[in-house]
Amino acid sequence: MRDRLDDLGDTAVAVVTFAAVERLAAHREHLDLPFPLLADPQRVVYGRFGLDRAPLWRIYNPGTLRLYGRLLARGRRLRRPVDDTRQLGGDFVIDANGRLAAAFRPRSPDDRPPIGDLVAAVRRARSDSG
Amino acid sequence: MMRPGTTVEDFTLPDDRDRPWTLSGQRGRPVLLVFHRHLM
Repeated sequence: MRDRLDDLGDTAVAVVTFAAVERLAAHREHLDLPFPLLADPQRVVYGRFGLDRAPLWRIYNPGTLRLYGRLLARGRRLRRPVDDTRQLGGDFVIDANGRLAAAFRPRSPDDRPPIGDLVAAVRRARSDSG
Repeated sequence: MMRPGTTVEDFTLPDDRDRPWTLSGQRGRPVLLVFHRHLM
């Protein structure tokens, strides 16, 4: 995503996590993120956006295992997660008037949209609300 | 479940510096929310 930030233009980007707020500063520094990390440890906002926990068979499906394999092949060090691994993520675009413009709710961890799809959704939201 | 076209209910969450981040505070520009699975 970092490589495509310029394509997002004047878009507010925020990463929502369900980690405790005191864990976020070190994580943002480690990843050198140019946008804020938000803490939703009770997963209230996750729930509002319809992001559920998935069964284990959907989390550790062949696609997810291939994804982890690719990350390891690139030299990424995978640490054992201390958080709930069954919680699904998601990506949402909200237009300038506060309306939901696009929703990407994956069914498994390997089902996230390409960054190009997110950039296109942001551009559509900008033109539709403009 | 929220559908595209519906107005998103406002929310406030603390950011990594423990400052409040509010959705309505971003009005006037698009917002991209990326929900993480878990920190790695």
